[in-house]
Amino acid sequence: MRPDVTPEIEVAINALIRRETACLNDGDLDAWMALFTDDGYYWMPLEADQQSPDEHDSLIYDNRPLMEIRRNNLGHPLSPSMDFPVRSVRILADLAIDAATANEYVVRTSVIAMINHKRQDVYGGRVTYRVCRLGDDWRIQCKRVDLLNADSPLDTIMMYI
Amino acid sequence: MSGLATEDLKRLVESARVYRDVYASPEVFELEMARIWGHAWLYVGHQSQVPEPGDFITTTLGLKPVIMVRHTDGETIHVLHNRCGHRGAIVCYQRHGHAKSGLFRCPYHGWIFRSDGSLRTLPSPGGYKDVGFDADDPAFGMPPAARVAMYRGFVFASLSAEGPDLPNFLGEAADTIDNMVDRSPVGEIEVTGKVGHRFLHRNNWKFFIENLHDAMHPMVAHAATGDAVKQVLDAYPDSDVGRPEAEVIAPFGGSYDFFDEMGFVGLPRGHGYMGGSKSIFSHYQMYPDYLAAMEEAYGTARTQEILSYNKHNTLVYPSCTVRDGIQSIRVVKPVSVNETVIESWTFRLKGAPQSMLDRTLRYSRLINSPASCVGPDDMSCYDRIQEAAAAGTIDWIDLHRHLGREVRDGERLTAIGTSDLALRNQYLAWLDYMTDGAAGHAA
Repeated sequence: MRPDVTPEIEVAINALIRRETACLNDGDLDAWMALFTDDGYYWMPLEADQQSPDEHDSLIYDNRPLMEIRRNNLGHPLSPSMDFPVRSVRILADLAIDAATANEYVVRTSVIAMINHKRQDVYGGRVTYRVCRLGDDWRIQCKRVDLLNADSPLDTIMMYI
Repeated sequence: MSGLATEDLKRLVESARVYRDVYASPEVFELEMARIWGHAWLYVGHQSQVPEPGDFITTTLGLKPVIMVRHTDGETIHVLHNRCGHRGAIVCYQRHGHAKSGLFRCPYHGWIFRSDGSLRTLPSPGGYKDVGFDADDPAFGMPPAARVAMYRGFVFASLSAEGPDLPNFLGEAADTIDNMVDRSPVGEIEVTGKVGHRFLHRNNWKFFIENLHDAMHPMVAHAATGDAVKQVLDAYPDSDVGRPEAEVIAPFGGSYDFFDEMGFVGLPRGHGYMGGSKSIFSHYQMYPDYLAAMEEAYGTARTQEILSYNKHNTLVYPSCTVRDGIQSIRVVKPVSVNETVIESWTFRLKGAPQSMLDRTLRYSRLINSPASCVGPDDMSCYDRIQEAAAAGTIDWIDLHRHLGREVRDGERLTAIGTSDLALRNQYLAWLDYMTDGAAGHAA
């Protein structure tokens, strides 16, 4: 039987997602990574309804080492693309929480993100998180971002959405 | 049509430099579409994308929309102009799908076409009776590309009825396709997924194919990413953390000597490749289960032969670059003088363990994806030249490096890896196509 999503749990998960959004908006990838479990990952599929990152290409499929590589790369003084700063903002809406198991919850939201880097690109999509409680703490096990235009010609995506 | 005469075009390309108009002039771009992309064999797709009769994908040949469809005979793959014979409307916008009974129906007035492009049904046909209309005239169908041919499952088409056949066009470049297919223990490969990456480049199509064999840029333009990986390796000295990623990215920081040793081979018609016995893939770890499957299929000697063949980015000028060692193909889709889409497709080696596909997908995410770490730095460099060429802040783009030190070996021109021969060889073909020599320069 699936457990209820109590008001306390709802408050805690909302706080986690707000914090995650704020970290990305601030460009603070160190703080952002710390919100994931050690084996947590970020997945941006290439196809709508893609079942797995192991059978076909993905736009992004980052485990912790890759998050660290991306963090080190972003803003690196030797990177030609970094003549332009990367600024971004994202707005989440329609957040809904479902219990998956006693300790794991699925969170669904819509997102609109703007990334400014030389030009300004607007992305829209749906986000699915799987989050869990670790003691008193809450962490993200995976974040899946399905862009509306994942299969359209895309300019460089300079930041997680 | 263009007012550019042959003499004007010849002035754009010298032995050691090219004039900025090759990147920035809409008039030159228009001529390229007619004379290069209108004549060369262009990559269309892979047979595994249309396994059943009626299965299709839509794509482009140059700027022209086409449909690649498996005919109802189950065997033939047709490449049809994606336009109705009536008013010229694009018949199908779906990127992939299945045409029921192999029939395409124009959504405007309902003309219906067979999967070989012939006109099958006219709506209310009495209106066309005794008015001089010939329903058998192919112009009223969806005309096939002038020539279509397949090489080991790779479908190419040409918009011109003239020119070399596909095997002669490919020449030695076909070896790379052979090697990719041979890397499957059962000799078969298939495209993963229904759509590939589509990476929008806001610059001229030639920057991408020039950059592939520009061995002077990785250690500079990709130094940041190399360092980003090294920092992770240093942070986890006694573990496997970051190793799979480093395997892909670290070679991009290879020394000038490393790339010089790789070497470059220029082939007729603008084709060419780096490597041969050594490439950025040659240090890749061998998965024991994959090696066992290959040796069981081919024997030890042949397996060694297949796996030691190592080329980096074989360019099939102008439309695609093939990487046998990592089983991917990137396809050039010019849009305008300063806009290009680079598609990339990943192949699964049938009969090989999942670890091989995992590596290919990892490579694709790290290198080919619009969200790749190295992509923005390449893009930034192309943009800089595009904008300078358009603004006229530079007139001539230089190609002097190791000029004249290439060695001719029959049809091939060989040089050390950091020679600008890689670029000069493309412009030999460019000039030949553009001045109606149809790239026969080195033949």
